[in-house]
Amino acid sequence: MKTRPARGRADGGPAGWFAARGWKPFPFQRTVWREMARGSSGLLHAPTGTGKTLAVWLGSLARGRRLPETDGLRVVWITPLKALVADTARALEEPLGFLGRGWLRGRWDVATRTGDTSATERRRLRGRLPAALVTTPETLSILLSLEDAHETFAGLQTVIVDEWHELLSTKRGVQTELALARLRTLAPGLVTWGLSATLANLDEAVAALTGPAAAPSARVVRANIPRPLEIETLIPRPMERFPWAGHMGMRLLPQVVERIDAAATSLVFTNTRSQAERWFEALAAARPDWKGKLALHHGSVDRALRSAAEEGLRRGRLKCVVATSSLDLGVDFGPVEQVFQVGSPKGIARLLQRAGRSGHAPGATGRLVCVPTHALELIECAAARRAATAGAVEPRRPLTGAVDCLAQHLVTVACSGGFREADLRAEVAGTQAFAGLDDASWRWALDFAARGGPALAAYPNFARIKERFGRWYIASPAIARRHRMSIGTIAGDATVEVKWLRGGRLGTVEESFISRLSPGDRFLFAGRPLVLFQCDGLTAWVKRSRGQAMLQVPRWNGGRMPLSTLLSHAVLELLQSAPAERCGSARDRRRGSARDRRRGLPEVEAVRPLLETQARWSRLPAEGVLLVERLATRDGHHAFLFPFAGRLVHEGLAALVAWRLARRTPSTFTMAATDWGFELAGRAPLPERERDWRQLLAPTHLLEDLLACLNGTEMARRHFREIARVAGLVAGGQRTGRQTQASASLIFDVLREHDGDNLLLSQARREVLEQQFEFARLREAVARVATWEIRVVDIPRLSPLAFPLWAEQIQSRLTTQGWLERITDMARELEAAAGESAR
Amino acid sequence: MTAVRVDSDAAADVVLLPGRAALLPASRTLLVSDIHLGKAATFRQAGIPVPEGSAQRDLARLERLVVEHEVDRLLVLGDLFHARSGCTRAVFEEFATTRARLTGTRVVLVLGNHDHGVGRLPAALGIDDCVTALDEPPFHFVHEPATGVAAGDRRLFTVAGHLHPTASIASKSGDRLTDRCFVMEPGALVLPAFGSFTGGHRVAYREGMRLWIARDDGVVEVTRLAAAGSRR
Repeated sequence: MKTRPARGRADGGPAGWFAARGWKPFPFQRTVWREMARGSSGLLHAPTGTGKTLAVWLGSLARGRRLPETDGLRVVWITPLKALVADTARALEEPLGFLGRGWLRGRWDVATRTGDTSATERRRLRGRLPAALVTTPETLSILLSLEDAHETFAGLQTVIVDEWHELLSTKRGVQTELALARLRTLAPGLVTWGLSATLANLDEAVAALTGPAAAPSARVVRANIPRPLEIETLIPRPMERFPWAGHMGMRLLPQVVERIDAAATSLVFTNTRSQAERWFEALAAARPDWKGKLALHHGSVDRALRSAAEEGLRRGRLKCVVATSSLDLGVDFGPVEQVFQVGSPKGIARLLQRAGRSGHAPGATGRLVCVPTHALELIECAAARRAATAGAVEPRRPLTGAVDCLAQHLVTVACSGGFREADLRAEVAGTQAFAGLDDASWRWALDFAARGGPALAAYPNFARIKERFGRWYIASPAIARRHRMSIGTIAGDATVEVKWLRGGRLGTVEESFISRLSPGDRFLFAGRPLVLFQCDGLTAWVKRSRGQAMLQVPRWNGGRMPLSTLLSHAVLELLQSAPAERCGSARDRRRGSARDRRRGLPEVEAVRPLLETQARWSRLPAEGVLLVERLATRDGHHAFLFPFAGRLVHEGLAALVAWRLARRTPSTFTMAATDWGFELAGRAPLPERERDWRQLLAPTHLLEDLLACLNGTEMARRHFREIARVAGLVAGGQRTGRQTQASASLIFDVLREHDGDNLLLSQARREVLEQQFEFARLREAVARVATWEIRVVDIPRLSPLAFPLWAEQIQSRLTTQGWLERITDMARELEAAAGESAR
Repeated sequence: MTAVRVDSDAAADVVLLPGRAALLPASRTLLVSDIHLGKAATFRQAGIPVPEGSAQRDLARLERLVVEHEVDRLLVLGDLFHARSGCTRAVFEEFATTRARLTGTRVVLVLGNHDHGVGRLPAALGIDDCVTALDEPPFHFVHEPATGVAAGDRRLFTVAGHLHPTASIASKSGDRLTDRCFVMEPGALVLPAFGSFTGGHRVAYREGMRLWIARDDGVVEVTRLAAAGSRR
């Protein structure tokens, strides 16, 4: 038989590389290679750990073989997390040695660039570009703002966006969309691929990735690879002593320790960084023999410590790592056998994502154990487990109309050699985020970028970008430098670095936390008990603290996502199926329990006594009935409402109802919200009649009233912080001069006073509506509740459902009173309390 | 809204006025601190689009206070101007114009850390005297309150600015309010920042301290509320 040299060539390609490692490509990988070589764009949708990276990377290389040989930058790989950059680069480098022996065309190498890349390395990279660059959306924007961006990206063939579902519904996603549009202009013929896991709205994800015009011709490739998953919930023993509210869930610690002990390697996911700190501390205290085999991983822990934890996981040296969403993404850790989810997963996609972090050893099963932190979370765990098994998952909607991102982008493009207005307008309108951009908003954004908006018309000397001969340029090199610094800090609040007094960094905490501590105060951070020695500027110097008593845990902003609509419905459904009338006799109870066991819902069975108490003291919520509980305590009058629409919608509803109440009589209300309902509290009794509540929750004038109530709360002002930073109103990061530091809220006040039409203010209001309150969901909830029956119940004491709301910290206030009235009321209250305790 | 008369334990009265200013009836002096004129302009110089407006309004407020109380002297306890880069001609002119209308009032500036950064102030501004500190028994006027203690003269009552103090008060039923304030401790009074475009630093309540919330339209003592808050 004759050997054909042509076959030798094929063996040197992707299939050969797979064969050399004893692997076989999946059909979806072959599809991607073929489509990419052909020059199509698209989205690859596959579970984690199935070889998405290799699919699009080898596809990029295959495409390179079809194009004229070049020496410059050919592939840009965008990843949402800085922490993933190094791992990704390593994975990309792996096949290059094999493929370089004949199959590849031209020289291929991989380099990384992030905000942490040193100045020397950056200079080196600019001198000689790699074939492929792994970077983040922020750093890509910075590269696009450099004067040589045109030359840098002219030869670009392929751009990959990793974990696109993570970026999709965020401002960083909008920033990425704009950057992709820019790249397509600089390198016509550019091919765009996105990688995503668990996502319901693939069409929108593709449109945002390639732009709506190119979306119809883009390919969506799905990998149909079943990954066996087992999900269960830890049931507290004994159930009676399990708390009704709380965020830590420590009661289940012994059971968790037991299970960690039985497995080789476990991951413990928490929903917040404070939870992670507490759990790490508790595990370390419970098992001193695990010293050195436990690690903590969250976004505020110093990078070096995090990398050490990841490395330990990869090599199987660790027994357990406690982590937040910081470990949701990224390269898989083979040795992980099981994953714990402390607290409700809040969404089905998140549950699946986290479950997928385990069981990557060949033939292994992914295993996730839900650890409820309080009784009602058992129901959320059951609902999530059931929905995940049924294959349901939530959509993630891309953002639109973010003028702050647009204003930033205009300055970015102006930095890199300028733009013609009509050209850039067309380019921007080609993105999904700005497809519906009207003339007025475009002109406003341009005017804001150039002159700071109409309010600054009186200051002709102020300009960030200037028009010369029909092109817009950056006004000065100093402004370009400042702009590049601010690009990198889209996310992230004012933070303080935590350092050992004797040297070494531990990570960062929010400035607001440190500012509440005094030297000598003790707190828990990066898994260590610390004592604050002193705070100077942006550094907190700490020493190790002896003893564990009285440790504070920092509360970091954000991080708590609301219960998804899908899951809220599932929860209400479960509650309904544990009906109140069955609670009467012992026989009925037995019957109910037996049914739950049959349906495989041990969580509901465990929580049944609590639901019975709820039914006895008040009633159980159900689809079609809005429960309103009223209670008077020494601190004032409370009302608890349970619309089951998710925490954010409840925050909005609470503000709305408070505003409608306070409009009648000037008063001050405090509000708290959970995923199940919300609480209003004030000094005067709250309405008793069903009719009053129906009016307070009426759908009429919903938008007007919500916008009006935003003025009575701090929410728009708080939200403005992020917008101000993106638009360049507030300097992010630590490198700015002290002369130009001002809080976003101060600028918010100045703008509101002197530039009321500033679009950034209306954007802040709109974003509070859309993101903070999930306006679309809120409107649906109001419409739904309007058709519901309303039941007002005066409860003798806090009911099991009301208790978690009462225990929740007060999240916001709404007032229609003047400042003096408020102080007078507060003083009167203080006097009354003093009088009472004197008696 | 009425003013608050404070016995400064130095045998002389200080009257806390609505509008974040204080009055010394004995010497017919109006005290203000930390106006930070030109701060918005400093921001614009750095490419940050912040409109003016607050400065003109602050100057108008200042003028009204001087006229209303018919004072012989306006004593600024430091940080009249924000930074050199913000001291544009327009900013200086605005101040000079307001100043020129205050005939019959001497304007004295106790230099603050920001004023030092601005450098030599032009004579055209109409500032009659610039000093680093001023001793007029029973008062010691200075920008940064710490220097009064360092001076060691415990017999004088320090009146200062610099700290931009704010007070936070809360009630058990959940209301909470943070605003600029006057702070008095034995031997010293610190004024709130007069300028609208200025930030604040929260004062931690200590035993023996008195606090007044200071607003454009009023002054109210909140010592008991602040003390109750610090115990919780």
